[in-house]
Amino acid sequence: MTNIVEIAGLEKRYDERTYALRGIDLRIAEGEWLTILGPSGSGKSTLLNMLGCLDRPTAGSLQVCGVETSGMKQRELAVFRRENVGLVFQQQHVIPYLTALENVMLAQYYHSVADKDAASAALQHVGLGHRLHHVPGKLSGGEQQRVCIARALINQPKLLLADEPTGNLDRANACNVYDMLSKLHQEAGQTIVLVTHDESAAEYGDRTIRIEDGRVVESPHRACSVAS
Amino acid sequence: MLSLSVGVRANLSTEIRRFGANIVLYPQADDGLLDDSVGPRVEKGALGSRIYASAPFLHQPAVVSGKPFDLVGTDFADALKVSPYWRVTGSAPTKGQVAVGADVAAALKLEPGSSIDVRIAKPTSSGKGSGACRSCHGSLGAEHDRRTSGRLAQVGSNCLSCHQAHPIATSTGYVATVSAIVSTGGDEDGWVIAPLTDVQSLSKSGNRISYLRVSALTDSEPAEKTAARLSGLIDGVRPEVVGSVASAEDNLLGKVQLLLALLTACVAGMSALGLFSMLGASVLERTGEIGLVKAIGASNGSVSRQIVAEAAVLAVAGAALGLLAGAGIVRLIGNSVFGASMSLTIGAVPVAVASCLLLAISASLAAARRAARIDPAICLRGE
Repeated sequence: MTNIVEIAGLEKRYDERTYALRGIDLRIAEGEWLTILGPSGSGKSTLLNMLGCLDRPTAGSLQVCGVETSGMKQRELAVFRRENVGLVFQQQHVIPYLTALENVMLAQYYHSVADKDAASAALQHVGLGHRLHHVPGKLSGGEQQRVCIARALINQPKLLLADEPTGNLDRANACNVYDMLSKLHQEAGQTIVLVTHDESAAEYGDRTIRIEDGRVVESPHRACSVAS
Repeated sequence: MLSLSVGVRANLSTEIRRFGANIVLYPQADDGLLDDSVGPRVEKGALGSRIYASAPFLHQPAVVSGKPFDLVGTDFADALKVSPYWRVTGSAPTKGQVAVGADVAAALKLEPGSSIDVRIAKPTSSGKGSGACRSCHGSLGAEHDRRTSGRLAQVGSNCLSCHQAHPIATSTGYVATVSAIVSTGGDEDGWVIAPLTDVQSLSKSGNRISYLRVSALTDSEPAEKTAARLSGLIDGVRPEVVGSVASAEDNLLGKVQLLLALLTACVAGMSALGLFSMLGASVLERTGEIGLVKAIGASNGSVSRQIVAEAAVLAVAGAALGLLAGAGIVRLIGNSVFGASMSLTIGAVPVAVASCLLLAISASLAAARRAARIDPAICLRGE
């Protein structure tokens, strides 16, 4: 199985004494669901931002989809991100004055060409076929998060990164989101990296790693090998 | 504001025409006369649109009820148009009637309805066409000719050669009815004003006039330039600019237009500042949204372009609303300030829209730069 992510000696520091990540080594296989656990401030979101090309490492090697992204410029990162990565955040980041359908089409617009039918199908896939033309204010938190997932998947990214996607949802909605991601993972073989501090969420993934103080402290081997 | 600053010059120029003529067309020869067709040629010629009004004047020394005065033939309506500052008590003189200046009325104790005897003074031997002293045949005529716009009563009552009061030789005359008293505070107060044709037939001047007073609009060019062009267009005339009126007018118009231009610039500057603040605040308010679109793949360039494009759309919409409102305001100001209909200057429309666009785009550049610097990772974390 090929690795979609290969990280070696990854570091992120803000000054001489402040490290967010120190010497991370990690591989993620294509089609794998990796759950990253850790307390707040441990560096797990920073690692996810590196994977999603939202941030650049201070040192180390970071290969995503076979491309070394650590030395890329902002413009190259933006292009790489829209081509290869789908992002889901803890807060339901949606444009408030656009409908659910338009929010999904927005990602298509920046990727290539907005396709209404494909966007509708994506929303139907996440169970929002009846809410296409509702603005976010008319949707529940769970529904908004499903819009975000549809938007993250609309361009068929190789890598789906989810940062505490159920952090703002109640238990029932959280389960719905995890079930949906799980279905996607199993049926389409979507590679997913989930960052959470919710231990129970680890049940959905193939493998779990734990980060504390910017280091991988626990890396059980399950579906594929992890070097740290 | 732009339309107003352009339109106000034209309206003020018309308004300033109340000060009187700014150009006088004299015959080229010192002792000559002009054909009275020069008036229509000026008004209907190539410079017709630049001419607000013109009036012919024919001066003849005359003896009115025994006293020497200047008899002036003119088209009274045209004269009033050229000199709107004339205060007229009574009605415009028609054939057989005269309007008398305030000084004449006071000297002869006249009022509208009075009758006066009007006689043309006989020409002197020098042929100057003015009155002569019967005793010494002195230089009264010559002095009179040079002072056609002066107070003839003072001249004629004393011969300039022998300095004694002498009766003046007169030719044919007629009894005229005073139809109006004219008060101007100027030379006209010493005039006896009759219809031009009456004076022409009485003095046997044919279709001749002494000079033509012209009131030219100065909104697009100074009176000096119009005068020079009239000289080139009409043969045999010697245009003279009434310096005091022309320079005061040009000075005033220039200052008013400069003031309005500065005001326009201030308003534009304040608008740009307002737009700058508004767009800055908008970017700040939409940090999450901008971070999101960057996270899903928007480049810094596309985000910046979006901010500039939004400002441009705002500018065009603002310009359209401004033009609509401006049209109403210009009309309102025209009616209330100038008592004339003012409308939006068509030429100002593209300039206004282009200026709005330029200001908006300039003001949006800082906001676009700020938007490009937004770090999606930070703002999506809610920091």
